[in-house]
Amino acid sequence: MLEASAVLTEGLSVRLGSTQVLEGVDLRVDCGDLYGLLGRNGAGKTTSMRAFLGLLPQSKGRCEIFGQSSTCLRDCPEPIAVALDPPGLDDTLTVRQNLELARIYGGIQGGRSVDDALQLVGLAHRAHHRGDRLSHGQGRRAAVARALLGDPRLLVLDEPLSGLDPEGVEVLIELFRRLTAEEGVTVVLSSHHLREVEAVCTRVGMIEGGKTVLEGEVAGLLAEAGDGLRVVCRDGAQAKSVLQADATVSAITSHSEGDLFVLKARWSAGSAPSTPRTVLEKLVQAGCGVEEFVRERASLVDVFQAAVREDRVGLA
Amino acid sequence: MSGFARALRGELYLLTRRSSVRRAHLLVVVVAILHVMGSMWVLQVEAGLEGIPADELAAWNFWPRLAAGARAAMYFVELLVLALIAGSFPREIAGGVTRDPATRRISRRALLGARAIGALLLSFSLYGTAVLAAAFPSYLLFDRGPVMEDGDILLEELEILEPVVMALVHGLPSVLALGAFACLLSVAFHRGVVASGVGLGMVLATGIFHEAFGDAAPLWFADTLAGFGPDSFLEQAAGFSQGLLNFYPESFNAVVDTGWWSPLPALVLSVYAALFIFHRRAL
Repeated sequence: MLEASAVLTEGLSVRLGSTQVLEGVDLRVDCGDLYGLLGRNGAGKTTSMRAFLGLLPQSKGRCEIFGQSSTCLRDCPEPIAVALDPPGLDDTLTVRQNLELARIYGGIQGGRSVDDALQLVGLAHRAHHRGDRLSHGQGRRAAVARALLGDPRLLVLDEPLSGLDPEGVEVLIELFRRLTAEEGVTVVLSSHHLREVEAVCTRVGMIEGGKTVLEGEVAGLLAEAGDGLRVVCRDGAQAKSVLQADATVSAITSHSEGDLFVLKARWSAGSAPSTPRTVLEKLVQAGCGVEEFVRERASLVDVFQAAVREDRVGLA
Repeated sequence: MSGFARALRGELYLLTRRSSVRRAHLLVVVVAILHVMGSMWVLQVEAGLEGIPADELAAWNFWPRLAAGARAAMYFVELLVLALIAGSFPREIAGGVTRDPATRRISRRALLGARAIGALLLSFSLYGTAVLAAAFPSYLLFDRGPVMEDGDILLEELEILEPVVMALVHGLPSVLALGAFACLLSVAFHRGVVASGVGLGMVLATGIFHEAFGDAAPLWFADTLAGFGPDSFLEQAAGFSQGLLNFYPESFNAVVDTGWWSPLPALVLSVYAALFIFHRRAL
């Protein structure tokens, strides 16, 4: 029998008042995934999370958590935990009391204790501070600590890295890696910090304008996107025409920096008839006055920008 | 453990840990004590002006002081019930606090049911605190026994004991209904200030529409609230027990009989309406 996805949404749509905030979000998070939900501010990441957790009334679509409709999460076969935005700490209680309350709500007997969870996120020294006395980043960490209590099988974390210092980001990224690799926990995290997501996530989904524009394995998406070329030269028009003539080069952008022109292009390695070396030779032969030629590895930023661009072209 | 049991345990945890709940009880205690001590000072001044010992005044008695002190504290109990309960959910929902329990396999019905029970417990607790806080200093500062005036027995102790005790118990159903109503307001409005303000407005407006409602007035629970209610039996009992005999008309027994059950429909309807609204509320 096939194991149910941890999270599955099909055509998820949400209308709040007269505004259609989500319109066709399709996501599939498999058990054990470390899944990154990407998108710009206001793209619909948090709303998607709230909708698939059954916290928002859905207007259309299907939504399941571990095979159970998210409208009946009380029957969900596996324990889930969330840390959404805002962190949702009760400001009248201390951090420790907030976590103890979560243990009561979750009926948690064993598993990770309050002290262990606070230790993991580096917040043990703030255990007796009230929720409203924490900084933004500490509030995030406290919410993550609360989500780690017991033995959750699915963690849904909204912008967990936002507002954290670099050390805090490292701690949490390592923690998420460990949870998925060693404990088999499924982690869904939203972020617009694409570099961190690229470093830690195995799969990503991208949301733009309230719908999914891209979803897949990080490694596959990066390979598909191909590498990038960055050319700094004196004759931008000539360089651009050379690059456009090469079948393996696409999506060229250019801008000037003083007397020089900077061109960026995608270079598809898949069925490349030419190599970066041959592209460089063509530029030199055409007398473009090449000052700098760099082959850049594709990143999620490139994938994201390309996906958003394609979505806009599609809309037009 | 069922989702409802876990939600209820969480609610009890909140009630026992929140400093706002502790401060509310303290405020009620302070008001009741100050009222009893203040009334003692006023009676002493009054007796001094009349040139008689204070204990010869009809009002110098444990029972009227208990009733009056409890009623003064009831104003604050009713205000605090509105502020604490009506203001709680909007703040928690806006801050995302309710998302954690709602995703820990607790249904919305269980979550709100537990909150409603918590609201009733808080109302009951504040009510009991008001009565005890008025009783304790009254017991220490005033004498029990018959109500005396000019050396004569005006009312036997049994004649005042019954209406005062009945009045104290009579105020309870309407305060519980106020707690449930505050719970409804808390899910109906997105801002705590608005929810509490609307609740207070509706309670205060009861006095304006009291005459127009006629015999149906007690069906609106606020009519029989011990503090703000136009048909406050405690007010009547407090006046009567200090010798103001016109404060306790015979017909008021009918109001008391109605008052036992009349707040209950509002209580039940408030909880059901709150469940209905909360079911569709975005968290």
